[in-house]
Amino acid sequence: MIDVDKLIKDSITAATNAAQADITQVAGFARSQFQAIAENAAGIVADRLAGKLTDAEVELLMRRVPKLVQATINTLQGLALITLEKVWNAVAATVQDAVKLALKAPI
Amino acid sequence: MTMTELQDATKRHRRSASTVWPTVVAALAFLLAACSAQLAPSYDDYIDNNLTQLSQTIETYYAAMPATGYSKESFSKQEPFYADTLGKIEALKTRAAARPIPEGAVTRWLGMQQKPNGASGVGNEIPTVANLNLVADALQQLRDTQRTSGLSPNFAQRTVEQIRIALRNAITYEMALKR
Repeated sequence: MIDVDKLIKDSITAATNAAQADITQVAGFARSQFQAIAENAAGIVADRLAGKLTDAEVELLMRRVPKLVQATINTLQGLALITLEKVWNAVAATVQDAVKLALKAPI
Repeated sequence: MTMTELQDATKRHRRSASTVWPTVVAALAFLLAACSAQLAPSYDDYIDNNLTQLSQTIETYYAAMPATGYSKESFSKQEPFYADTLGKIEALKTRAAARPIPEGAVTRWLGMQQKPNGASGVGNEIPTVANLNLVADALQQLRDTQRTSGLSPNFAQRTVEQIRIALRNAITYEMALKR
C-alpha cells in the first residue's frame, strides 16, 4: 500500500531540491543580463551626447536593444523549461520508488 | 430507512471509499512513474564548444582592432574574418536548429513548445538560434559600416557589447542543457 501522505511530502522535497539551485542561478543570470542591456543602452546615449556616435549609428544600435531583451526572455524561458524537466523527473522518480516499495518488486 | 440502517449504509460507503482512494492513487502513481519527460533538446558538445570558440574569435578580433584599424581602407584585411565568422555562425545555427525538439503534452499545455526557426514570438524560438541571429546581424552591421564608411571606435565597442550579451545567452542555455 502506498503511504499517500509520505509520497506527497517526498514529492515536494524532490521538486524543491531539483528546482532550488537552478532558480538561484537563473535569477542571477537574468539580473546580470538585464543590467548589461541597460548599461549598453545608457552607454549609447552617453556616447551620442559626447559626440562619439552619429545619429545613424545610434539608430542602428538602439534597434537591436529590444531584440536583445526579447532574446534574453526567450533564453530565460528555455532555462525554465529545463528546470521544469528536472522537477518533473525528480517527482516521477520519487513516485516510482514509492510504487516499487509498495509492490516490493522491481517495475 | 431506520437510523441504524442509515448508519450502516454510511459505514459501508466510507469503507468502500477508503479502499478505492489508495487504488486511485496507486493507479496515478503508476502512470506518473512511467512518465519521465524530456522538455528541451539534448546537449550537443559540438555546439557548446563552438559557441565558446566563436566568442573567443570575436573578442580576439575586437582586441586587435585598434592596431588593425577601423577605417574603410583597412577593411580588405579584415574581410576574411567577417566571411569566416558569419559562415561559422550559419553552420552553428543549422546544427542547433537540426536537433530534435521534444514534443509533448506538457510543453503544449504550457504554451512553451519550441520551434527551430520559430517566427511566432518570444519563447517559441530555440534560444541558441535566436541569439546567434542577433550576433550575425551585429557582425553584418559592423562589416557593412566598415566597408562603406569605416567604423568609429565607440560604434564598434557598443556593437561588441551587444554581441557579448547575445553570446552569453546562447552559451548559458547550451551549458544548461548538459543535465
